[in-house]
Amino acid sequence: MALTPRYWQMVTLTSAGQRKIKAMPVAKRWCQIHLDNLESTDDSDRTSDDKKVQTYLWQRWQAGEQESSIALLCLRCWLSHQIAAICSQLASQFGQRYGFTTAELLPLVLDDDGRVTLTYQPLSVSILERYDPSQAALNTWASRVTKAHPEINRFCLERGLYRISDWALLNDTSVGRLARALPGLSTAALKQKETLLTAYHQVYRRDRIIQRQQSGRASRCLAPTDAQLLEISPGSPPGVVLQQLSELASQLREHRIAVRRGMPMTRSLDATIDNQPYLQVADPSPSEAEAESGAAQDEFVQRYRAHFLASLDEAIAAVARSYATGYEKRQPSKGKLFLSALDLFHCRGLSMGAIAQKIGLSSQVQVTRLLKLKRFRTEVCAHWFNQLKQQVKADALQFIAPARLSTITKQLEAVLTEETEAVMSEAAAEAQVSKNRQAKSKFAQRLCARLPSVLSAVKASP
Amino acid sequence: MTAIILDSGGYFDDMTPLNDNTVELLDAAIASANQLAQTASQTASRLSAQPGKEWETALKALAIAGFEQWLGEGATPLAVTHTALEASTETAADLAATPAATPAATLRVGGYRLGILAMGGLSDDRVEIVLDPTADSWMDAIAHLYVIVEVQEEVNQVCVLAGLRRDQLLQRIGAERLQQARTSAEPLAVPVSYFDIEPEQILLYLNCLEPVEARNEEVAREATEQTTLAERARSGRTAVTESVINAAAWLQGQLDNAAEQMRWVLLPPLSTAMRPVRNSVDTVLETLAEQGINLPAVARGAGSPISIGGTCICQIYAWVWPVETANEPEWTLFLLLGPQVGEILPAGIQLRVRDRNEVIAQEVLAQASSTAYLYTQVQGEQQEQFRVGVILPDGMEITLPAFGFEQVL
Repeated sequence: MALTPRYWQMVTLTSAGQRKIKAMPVAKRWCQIHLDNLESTDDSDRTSDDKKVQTYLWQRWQAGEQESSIALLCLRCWLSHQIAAICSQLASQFGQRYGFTTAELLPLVLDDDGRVTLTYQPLSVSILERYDPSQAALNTWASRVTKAHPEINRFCLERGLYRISDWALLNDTSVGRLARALPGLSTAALKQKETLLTAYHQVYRRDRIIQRQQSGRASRCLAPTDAQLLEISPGSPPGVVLQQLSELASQLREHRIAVRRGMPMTRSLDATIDNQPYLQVADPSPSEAEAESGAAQDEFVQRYRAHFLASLDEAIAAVARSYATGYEKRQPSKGKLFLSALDLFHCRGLSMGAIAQKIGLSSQVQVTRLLKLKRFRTEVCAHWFNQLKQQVKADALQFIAPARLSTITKQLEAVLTEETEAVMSEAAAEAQVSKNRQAKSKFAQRLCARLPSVLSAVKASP
Repeated sequence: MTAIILDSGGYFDDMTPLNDNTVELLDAAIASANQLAQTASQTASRLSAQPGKEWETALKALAIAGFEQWLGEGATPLAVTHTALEASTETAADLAATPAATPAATLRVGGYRLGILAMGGLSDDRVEIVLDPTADSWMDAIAHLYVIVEVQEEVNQVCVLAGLRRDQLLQRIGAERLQQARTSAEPLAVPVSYFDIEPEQILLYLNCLEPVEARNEEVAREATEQTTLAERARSGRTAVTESVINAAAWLQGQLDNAAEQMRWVLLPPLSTAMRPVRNSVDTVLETLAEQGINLPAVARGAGSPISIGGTCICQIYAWVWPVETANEPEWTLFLLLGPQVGEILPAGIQLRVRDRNEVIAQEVLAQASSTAYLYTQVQGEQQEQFRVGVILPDGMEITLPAFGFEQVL
């Protein structure tokens, strides 16, 4: 059988934190002696070859005889590659937007010192300690354990990435959902899982509710304690119950992934097409149209045009000031940071990443969260629409009777909707451009004109 | 699915990324949620409800509190006038009868009634909406806007996902199914895919538009009329939408085709004394007379049973007579709703009359008794038509064909 060198090369970190492949001659020799003899499968399927090797190594280690520690070392080497791969996949999927690299993740989980005699338990060994070959392939298991590593999770959550724990997932799954979430189970198997989940709920939920009430805020769900496990399934060894619960959680996780793929709203907003929300007003019936006198109409239209831009300016200023002040209250200078980011985005056309660098935020996601672009535009639109409506109605009353006004209100609103919508759509489309954005849209132009005065207003206030 | 866990490879599809509408709950929000949940639990245990709903209640409480915080995070302050997490049932018996019911989470913002639907860690492709069985009408049982809020309990975050308007719900689910859900108090499963209103859009509604009640009433009325037609079709009666009953014919002692088809029965003239057999109508008229309500001698009436699916619910009688006024000649329609023979009218039954545009008369029976009837009277120009509706206590509305008054010369 052709062996991959992963069984005797370990991925480690230098003292400077750099990734480095460390060769283990002891392991290499041992592998060459004991593993070469293993028969390869005919179709040279790497996976089943791997399985054979791992099973052999695992059994040698479990047997606890002489050289079992070498067998363990081989597994530790192989696992280090798995663990490193998980880190780099995580970084490649989210690193750019959430502001981290593989190099930052590795120190959290690559804690194997490579010595044959262990003085502590590195992650690789804890993976192996809880491994059950009859349940899953080793790489799958290693993947699961690494992804659920508390340090990885803490690191990710700090940057806004949340991975739900098995225990929270089980908490939130009602027993009635199981049949739908796990189709293809036999009635007996389903019944078993339902019983297990019900018992879990009775114990774990109860304790968590108490926790919430006592400390106010919830903290990360921890694995159930032995005491809890015994309460959940008296008569079974806690380790077995824990395993069963983990398995159930894992299956539910798969189901969750599938469901969320069909729900675009659950993805990060960057991933979806940016549609500007719009006002839906009933279509007015055109039958009411009467001709007003020509001169009056001209004056009305002129006033309307003046109001149109003036109220947009006012709305932009009001909303920007409000956001900035709100931010300042929560954290000094965050308001000014917000206004800078707004300026850099709309008026200088920088990308999110560039803005993050310029204003000292650690990730694109933080800039997105700060700017709340879509909500900002929406609130400007709402403010603007309401203002415009009021002003137009007030003006209209100078030309037409109130009774008449109420009959054409719907028409008016429809017109205003269209006009404001056009400006907002233009703004939305422009915001989609990721970099070298040009401030051509009316919205951006008015915003950029107003920002300096908003900034000085915010700076001036105590 | 096999027992061996599928290799999820290295992909992190189970990560929950930060969405623009994810809210990190502040202490105040968490405190508010805890308070809501505790109150709801206390009420539930007072009613000896089944335990085990505390978790769902806790999630709903977090959803409401989180949504409120999200509302407040913008520039425009929106007044939240009412927040509730309560079982819509009043008694332990009700609660026991509907074990599936968890407290409904509602908010009132401006003129909007919002229903908050909490979604936990195990995302679902459907949500459950519970309609309030104690609401006055079935329209009142439905919120103006339903919002799905994902609750990330473990990390004290919520994410506002999407909304669904009442008229969209009506259109997609249908009035009949909604009415059924309301009477049975069973939760209604609604696909998440129906919820296509983005969170920012919700803000726009709350900021700029009043809930379009009139429009919804129209949609509901059309939906109800379709239901009525469906009922009629099932009970073997011909569906008659377009026909108008010409009540003026009654003055001539005749029933027109429409009335005949609807099995209206012409009543004998009021002033006819010494009738061999007293019927229930006479008794009713006597009762009305005792109360000072006298129909003019020229009035002619007709009556008809109102049935649903072949079962007689009540009887309706209508009298008409012409009225001379200073301008155009007008006519009066006097309506009387009585029980079916040997029964009494149920409390909560309503009689409603509409003209072309709006409701012009409405009577509700407050208390049932053997002498209780509903009656009302409307008057209009002779080319006007009136639509009469009977609303049953459970909210189901039966609309009769319009009454018109074209003088037969």
